[in-house]
Amino acid sequence: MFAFLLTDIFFYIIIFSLGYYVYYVRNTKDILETWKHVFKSNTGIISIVVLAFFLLIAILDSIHFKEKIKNEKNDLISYSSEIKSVLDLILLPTYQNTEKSYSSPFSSNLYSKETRILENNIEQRVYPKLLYKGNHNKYSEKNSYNIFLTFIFSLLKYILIFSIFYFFLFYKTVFKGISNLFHHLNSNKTFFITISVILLISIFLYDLSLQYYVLGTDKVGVDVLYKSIKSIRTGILIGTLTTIVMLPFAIFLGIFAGYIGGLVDDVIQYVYTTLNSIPSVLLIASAILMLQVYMANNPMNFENIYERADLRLFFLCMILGLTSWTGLCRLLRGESMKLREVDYVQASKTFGLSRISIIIRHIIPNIMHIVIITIVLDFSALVLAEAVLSYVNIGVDPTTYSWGNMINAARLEMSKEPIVWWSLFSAFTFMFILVLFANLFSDVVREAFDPRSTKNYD
Amino acid sequence: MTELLKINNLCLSISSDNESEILKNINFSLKESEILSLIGESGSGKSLTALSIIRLLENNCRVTSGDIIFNKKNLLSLEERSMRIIRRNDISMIFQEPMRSLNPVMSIADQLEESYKNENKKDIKNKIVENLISVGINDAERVMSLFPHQLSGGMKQRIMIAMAIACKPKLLIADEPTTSLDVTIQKQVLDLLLKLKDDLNMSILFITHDLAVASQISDRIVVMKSGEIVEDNYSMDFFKNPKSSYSKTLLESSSYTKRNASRENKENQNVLEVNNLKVYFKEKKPFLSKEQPYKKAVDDVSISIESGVTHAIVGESGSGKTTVAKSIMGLTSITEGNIKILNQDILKMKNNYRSNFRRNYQMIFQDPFSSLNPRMRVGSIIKEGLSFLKPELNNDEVNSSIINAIKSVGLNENSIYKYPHQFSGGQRQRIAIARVLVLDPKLLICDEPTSSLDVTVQKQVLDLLIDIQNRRHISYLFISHDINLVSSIADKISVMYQGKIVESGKTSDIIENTSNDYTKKLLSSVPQII
Amino acid sequence: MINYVIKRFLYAIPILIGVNLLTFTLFFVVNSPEEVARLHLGNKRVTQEQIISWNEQRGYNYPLFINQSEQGINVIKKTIFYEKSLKLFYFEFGISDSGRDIKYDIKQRMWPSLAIALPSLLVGLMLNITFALFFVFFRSTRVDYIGVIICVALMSISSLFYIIGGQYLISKLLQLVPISGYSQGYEAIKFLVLPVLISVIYGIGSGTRWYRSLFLEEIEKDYVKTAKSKGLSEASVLFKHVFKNALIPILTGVVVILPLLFLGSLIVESFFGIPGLGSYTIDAIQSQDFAIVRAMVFLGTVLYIIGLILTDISYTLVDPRVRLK
Repeated sequence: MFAFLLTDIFFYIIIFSLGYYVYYVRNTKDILETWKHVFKSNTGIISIVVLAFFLLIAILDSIHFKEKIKNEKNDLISYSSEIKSVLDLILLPTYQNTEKSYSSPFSSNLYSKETRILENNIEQRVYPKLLYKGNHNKYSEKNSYNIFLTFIFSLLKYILIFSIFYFFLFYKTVFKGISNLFHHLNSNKTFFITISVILLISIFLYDLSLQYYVLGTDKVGVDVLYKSIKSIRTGILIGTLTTIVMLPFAIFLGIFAGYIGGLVDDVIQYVYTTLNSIPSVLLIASAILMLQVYMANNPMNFENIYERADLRLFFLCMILGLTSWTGLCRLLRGESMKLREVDYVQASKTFGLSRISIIIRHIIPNIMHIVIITIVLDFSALVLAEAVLSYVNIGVDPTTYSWGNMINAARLEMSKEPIVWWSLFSAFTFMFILVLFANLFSDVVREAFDPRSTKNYD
Repeated sequence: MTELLKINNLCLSISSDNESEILKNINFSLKESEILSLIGESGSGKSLTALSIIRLLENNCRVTSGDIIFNKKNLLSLEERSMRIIRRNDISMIFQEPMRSLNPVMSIADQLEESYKNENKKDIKNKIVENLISVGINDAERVMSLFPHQLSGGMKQRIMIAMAIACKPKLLIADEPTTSLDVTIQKQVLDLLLKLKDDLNMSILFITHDLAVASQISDRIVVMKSGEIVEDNYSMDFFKNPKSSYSKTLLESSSYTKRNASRENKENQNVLEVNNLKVYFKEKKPFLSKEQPYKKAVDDVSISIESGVTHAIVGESGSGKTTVAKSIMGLTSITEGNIKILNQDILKMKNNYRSNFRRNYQMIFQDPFSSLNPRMRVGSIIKEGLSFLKPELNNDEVNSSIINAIKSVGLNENSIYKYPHQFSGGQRQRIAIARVLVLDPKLLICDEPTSSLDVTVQKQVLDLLIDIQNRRHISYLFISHDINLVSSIADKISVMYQGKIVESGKTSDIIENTSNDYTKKLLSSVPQII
Repeated sequence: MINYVIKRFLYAIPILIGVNLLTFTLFFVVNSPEEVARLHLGNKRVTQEQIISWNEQRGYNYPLFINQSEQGINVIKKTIFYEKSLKLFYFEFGISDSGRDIKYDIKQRMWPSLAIALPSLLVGLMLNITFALFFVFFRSTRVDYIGVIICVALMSISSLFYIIGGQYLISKLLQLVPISGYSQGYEAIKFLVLPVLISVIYGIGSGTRWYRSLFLEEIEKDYVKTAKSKGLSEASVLFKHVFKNALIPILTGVVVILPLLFLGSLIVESFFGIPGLGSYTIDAIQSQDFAIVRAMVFLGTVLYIIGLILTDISYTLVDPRVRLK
């Protein structure tokens, strides 16, 4: 049975709006031209493909369901209270079993020694063997050979999958002959190389994960790689949902303040100056602390732990959104003030258009570039902010998978000798990849959309 | 006279998505103490030619072949360091926008100082004062301590000139130095340049789009068109009988003389009547002061226009002429006075009625690049007015009137599916005209409709406007800074100065025998092709 | 000028009132003091008496706005709104929920915060501007291209990584400075070096890129062409003309955060165990000591507003176009 968490629903809305935007752009020539600039640059393509891959994982992780449980005795069907996602289903073979405690990447035993009593009653301190992975090499006993062979098999799988996909997507080109095929591949070289690298890495990691804990296990023996992948959804949700929450405020208040002016402008300016004057961490902290108090005192509203964690994530996005709309609002106010005096708005006034019609027909389409630049620019900042907030204990719920929580938990083990580094490593690496490509993407987008970056020559 | 500058087969291309050649085989030479005008419309490559001489091209421009010989040295093969010495001593340049060409955070004295070689402070100061006096700034001491924003446009351009001539250059490149200035100021600057040329015995490469200005000062004329030189001629010969056909078109367009058929005998219905119009803008009140200062943008202006007549308002920037237009259109609030259109007072109309009545009076804006929403297709741009002002039409009628309108301004039917950025400036202005024509107005306010267009395009748009007037019997309120242009198309002229109409009357009366001093000054400042 | 400053201070009052009302709503209306007390005492098996006495000790036992059990001015004075909210206006921060004098703590703790924040800001500023100028000097060459990529990469790394990595590398592996802690006098320097270094490195990516774009924006302006046509060298154009103009947004951006330096940096201080206001705030958040959080919100707002006023004044000093009225 499908289960819809609150954030799922909002995430679907975001995906649908994204889909609608793509559709809209395809039908609007001048915006399409601008986006083509983004696609023309190598950085643009690479970052779009990488981000799309992350987004795909987040989408798969946002389709939730409850499993059927068949009661053997009376044949009644009930649903488990545990909520799983499609992604869990796909990754199931890799994470279903948990070890006892820490183990380092590719290791075959636990990280710390345990006392074991041998047959002859002699106590011995040994590294216990891992129960599920690390000792089940598929191809060869020797680890390095085994990894190499796994890679070769992954490569073969990748070639198979790629060819099938290519055939289905571009079957017209395929039938036109081998030279045409190469030409097609070559003219979209960056795109195909990026896809290939991602695909190959994914297959390889998946195959490896069946045999090893590629990134080790955490304190309670959960696969760190699985945790890192599950955290993608949280990161992306915080980066997108927050902006979606903030957009209506920023757009409408910004336009009203800038276009209508006068008292409306004064009031809106007062509101955002006030919000802006509070250091944002403190404002977020205050709001989240109060939320915590509320949730602690009203536990009956939040029974299911999944729903409670999800609600907290949702509120976190709301609070981040409500405290971060002021910047965009100010930008849009300035732009609307400028647009108010532009001739085409004046011309519409001479046709007797009402304020609302002018705002819808002329102002909104001409400020959207600022909105788009802000969305992509804020995304990476929000993903990074999540980690910091979790550190301060005002981030997502401790039971939610998130890079911030991973770092926060691992930090406490910093003093261990030798250091447990893999949790930190994987959280930082995943976060770095997502944020880096988001930053590169935002650079390209800004260059394409910023009217100042287009130069005119005599 | 010896040759100072010689350009041989200069080719230049801009590297962008596809490498495109912008300048093709430019050849011309400039003698000592000669003024050569480089004439061309926008996009002809005249500025790029100038910038490649002084080697200040943007990074993405590349000279592909050719030499620029200055004083027997090939500038293109010089090292940057030697080039810098040449800029310091021999070649100077002034730019179009004095507003943006001066560093806003440095005082005038500091900026001028940089043009002098290492001498002691006191000598430099004396030289600056001398220099400022030579460009006609008499209170040099005071001006030196000021910052650019405290000076008027004309003053700034004088400073720019002072800076340029500080090193007593052999060659001065002036890139449209008067384009952003009012005519009266323009004349002063041109006179100054002529005087300095004689005093300093320098050559001037004068870049302009304005043939009349060129004819005032140049010895030689070089005409450029889309990156190529189409004519190189002596000034006298050029204006008498130009060699190339393009030059002929340019000359014809510049001296616009098309008169419309006489409309004296038509019935005299008043289309527009403006009585005692006053528009005052509140200025920022000083802290703790009770009196509210006002800026009198329009001060007691009265105009009346009969049907089918073109009435022009002429004035320099800041004279309030655009404010008059805006207050008629309801785009700015009016302090006092009344405005009647077709004998109905539009200020006293009920809102509903007026929004319907608006179809009778419409406006064309100066800049066709900002008057069309870049995000809308041309079809919807034209449709906008129709759907709001003529809601009674059904879909078919709307579509057919859009197509009629776009055809009547000489554009292709398919244009309605395109976006504004796919059209040139002239075509955009045609779209703007179609947008109002579709409403069939009785009065059309044209706010400098041609001043941002190239001369040849300007002529076409004016032709179109007159043609429309003859067909549809529309009245025009034509607002312009160009008394020359206005005199050839308007039936009546009002001259505005500092918010007031200083003189009003029939065109011939004003042009031929005005009694007003300001009009006289305006007329004498306008450059004429000799 | 003085008129202007007075006027700006008057404008600040409604903003402070707004902030005050907002925090009051958040802390006392969304959840009643009773609920807060219940949270602190642990949810289960708390008697009503315990809650009342907890609130009484901390002065949360009054009504929110109007105290009808009192006479005269005390109707308004003996309320939470007056005691906990209005008193902030004359910097009466009261006592924390754990019973300490907040004002005293703030006075003690702002100096260590400043000792980290100020050097970080100054060193960072210098480095960022230098790098930015360097990249701008080599603009549209490979140097600039690679520089920007490095900046973007540096920006994409979480601040926590810099801290944890720095602590591990410098304190644990190389053992150059202690991992964390603080002491008085010159001894403090060895505790300050690493946090300052990490703050600076963390800021380099975004700072350099931001300044670079400011310089580039200026370099495309027409006056640069004028300066070059005078025969000035690239370096003197960059330093005399471009730098002066780009300095305006840089300087004003710095001035606005100057007063906020007292608040310190939350995570850096907390990781390095610096007894500054940043770690004070974090501790308060983690132990849910709302009295301190409220005080810090108010203090932060006041400092920010002072920063805004200082910014306006600094504009008049660096930009001749701006005259305050």
